[in-house]
Amino acid sequence: MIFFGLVYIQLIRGGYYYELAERNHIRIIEWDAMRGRIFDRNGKVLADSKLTFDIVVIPQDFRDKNLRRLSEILNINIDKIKKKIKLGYLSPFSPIIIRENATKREALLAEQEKFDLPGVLVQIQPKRYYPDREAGANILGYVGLIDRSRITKLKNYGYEIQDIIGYGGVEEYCDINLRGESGGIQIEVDNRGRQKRVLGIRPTVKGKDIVLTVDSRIQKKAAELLADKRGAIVAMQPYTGEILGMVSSPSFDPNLFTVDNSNAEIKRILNDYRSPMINRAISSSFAPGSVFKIVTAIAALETKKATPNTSFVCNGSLRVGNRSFACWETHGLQNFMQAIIHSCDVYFYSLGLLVGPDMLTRYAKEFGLGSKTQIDLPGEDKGNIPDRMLRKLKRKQDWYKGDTANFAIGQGEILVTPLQATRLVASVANGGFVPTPHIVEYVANEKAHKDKTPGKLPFKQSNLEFVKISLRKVVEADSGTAHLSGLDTLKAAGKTGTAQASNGKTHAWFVGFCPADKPKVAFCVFLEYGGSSHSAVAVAQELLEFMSSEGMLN
Amino acid sequence: MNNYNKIIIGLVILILAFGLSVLYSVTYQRGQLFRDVFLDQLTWAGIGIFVLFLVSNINYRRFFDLAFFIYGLSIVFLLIVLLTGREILGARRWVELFGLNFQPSEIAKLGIVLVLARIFSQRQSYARNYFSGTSFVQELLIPILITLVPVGLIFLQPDLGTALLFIPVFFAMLIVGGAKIKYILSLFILMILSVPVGWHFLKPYQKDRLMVFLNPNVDPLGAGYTVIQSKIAVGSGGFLGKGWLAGTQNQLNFLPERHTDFIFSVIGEEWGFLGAMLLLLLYAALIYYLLLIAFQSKDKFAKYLSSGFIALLVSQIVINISMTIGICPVVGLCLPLISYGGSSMFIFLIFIAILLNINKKRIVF
Repeated sequence: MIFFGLVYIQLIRGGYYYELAERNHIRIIEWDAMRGRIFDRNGKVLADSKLTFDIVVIPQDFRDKNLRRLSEILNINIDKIKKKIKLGYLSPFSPIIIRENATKREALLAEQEKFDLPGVLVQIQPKRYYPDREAGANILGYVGLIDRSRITKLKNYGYEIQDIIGYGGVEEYCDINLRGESGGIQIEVDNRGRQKRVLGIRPTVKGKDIVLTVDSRIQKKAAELLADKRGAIVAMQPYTGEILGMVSSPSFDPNLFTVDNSNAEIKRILNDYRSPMINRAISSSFAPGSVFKIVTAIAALETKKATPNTSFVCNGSLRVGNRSFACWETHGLQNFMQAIIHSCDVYFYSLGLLVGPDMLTRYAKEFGLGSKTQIDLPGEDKGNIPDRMLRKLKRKQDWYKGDTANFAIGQGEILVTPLQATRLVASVANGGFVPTPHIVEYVANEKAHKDKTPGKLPFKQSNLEFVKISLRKVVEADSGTAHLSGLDTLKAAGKTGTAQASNGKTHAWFVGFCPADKPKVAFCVFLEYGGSSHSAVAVAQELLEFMSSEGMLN
Repeated sequence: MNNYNKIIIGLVILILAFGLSVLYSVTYQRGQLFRDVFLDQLTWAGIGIFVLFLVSNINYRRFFDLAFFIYGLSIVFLLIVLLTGREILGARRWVELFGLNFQPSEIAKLGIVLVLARIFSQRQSYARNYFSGTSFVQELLIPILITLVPVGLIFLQPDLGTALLFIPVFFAMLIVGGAKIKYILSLFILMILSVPVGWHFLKPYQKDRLMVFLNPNVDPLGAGYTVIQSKIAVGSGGFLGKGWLAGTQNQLNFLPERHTDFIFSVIGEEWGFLGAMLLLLLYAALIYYLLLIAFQSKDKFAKYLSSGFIALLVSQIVINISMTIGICPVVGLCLPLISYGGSSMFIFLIFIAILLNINKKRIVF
């Protein structure tokens, strides 16, 4: 009986008990690694790990007779310290924080008297800090304790409970690079949990620094322009897809998430009906309105359903089927370019009906609408491009001519993210390339992306050129929907959009590029429930004027 | 002339040495147990071997004469310990005499076995003289009463383990003594029937231990702690063990009572399955040679005495090891000749010495 007992317990289950014994006497104290910093394209710090000092007490070494001196240094009364030790006690060797975020003076005093105060230590704790606060929050994200859903997903990649990880934006997307490797100290403890000796130390490895393509000046200016509005601004290098600026409003202060005791404010942010945590530039999509006319125009020219000389008469409305579709004005006789300049709906209803819904869908998809842009940020929305066939197959609904008319002017089921709209206009600006937008330029001095030439759209150059010139005229012509003298001076080009939203209000859009002949920036200004497109045009003018004054458009 | 005696002495010295090496490891780390524990045991082992030689030269028949004296002495000590004994870990098991602490229950082991051997060996002659045939009173009642008095006193200490230890001893002597099967069986059945009644006489901590045996995890930090830690220690030793002085459960103080009742856990942890088997082999060899002596003896007293002692030795080894690996409830029994403690070691050595003398005398006859 004894023999079999021993065979079972020592030979068969030996491994199991061995592990139990190991766990019995080995403890690991983790040290957090410094998270990598995030810089903008000019080397300005966007996210930093500041060192803070925590004054801690190691219970097994601390002597009660030193309570008085400790209370003098920290200016906390003795009972409070006692209470903190009692509440924070985990094991004899795990430090209990007595003073978080101690001042330099306190830290110095405690360090000086180290030998008189055994068991009192100054612990250096990296804390995340975002100097620009709200301005970059939606692209940067924030850091916090890992949550349950993420730990189950990321367990195999070395993530553990109590890890600090990035949420949203670059912090989340590049977490694996930013986080570094936490180190620690492995100690042997006895039955009462007292430290006996140190078995091993693994130093922490600092996370990798990241350089973004964004320019913090643009970020700040854009955030300022959107300060009391809802919406998004995207500025992109039209050839490479580098995101120069991306701001969503309202925003939040990511610093709140790294400070304890700010739960109330975090709750306020999370419960805000305007959803400050959502990056409107990529994570939500809206009807593009007249911005979509760029696609309709290209589609009509490419399918040879229209030429630049095609004209229609705008009587203020068009009868399609048994319904009348209104234009926002009565434009009279309009040729193609005039229709773009004035954003004539009747002209584009007619074009759309000529082209047909299937071709509109096809050309919209050529421009990358309806699918993710593959930007290196989490939570991207793919928008929606209506599809006659899919509607028939999936929802068993018919497609009517009225749907085509709506589609042609970017209304109805079509949804586009501001980033997709930016890329659309960039493709026109750069002569038919669809760039992949990206925001991370370098990870620890290594280029994050291979420079690959984006696929050239199989369109006739003359057609693209015609649309491009038309977009310039939208700003240049006195009757253009985006005619503002400031924009004109900067040689900006673009297309406005006033999209009907669900509750009778309208979204204001303005997408464009600048300067028209040698575009340095493609941009999108989107104002959620912003009224007429004119307000978006005004915002764009201010942004471009600022960029020009900073010499970014030369 | 056989050489059993030399072999037995050799085995005893090996076992004592093994035990000392384990105790050295137990006290290696400066903790609650100090080097004294090892040095004490070393001294006792030295004296013990001397006692072994001394007693083996005393004619064992002297113990026939002394049986009732030793028995009486143990009862006196048991009474003293109940009235004045020092309380250690909630039980009065120790008595101080001439500056030495010892456990009277150990002397009782000697007393009971001697007296039982004596009356069993005289039984037939009594019967022939005073009664016609053996009677129930003669064969069972008197031996039971004789056993129950000291056992009851031990039970009151309380020391359930030692008290229950006399059950296998009693049965072994009864069987070897040739008692009628129906008496043995009826006694056995009676005992099983009395188990539920006995439950009510147990102390709360004894009930806890029994409950914990059924499931140690009901109270992992209280009553179940020792068993869990002991199982972890033994199991983690694996086949080869963690090495002398290198058992983490031992060195880091996770094992309570590891110098006394739970010393086998240390052996399992540091010496592994191999070491545990080595110890069991040494014990088996010792028991084998003791059995040879018992069976070759023609003298009834010698035979009963030997079998009683061997039953005691085997039961104590089996129960002790079983409890450290969680296959029987925890009771306060030490591992013979290995665990720290002078009283137990001396009594076992005296028993062995008596058997050595039996072997010598057999040759002389």
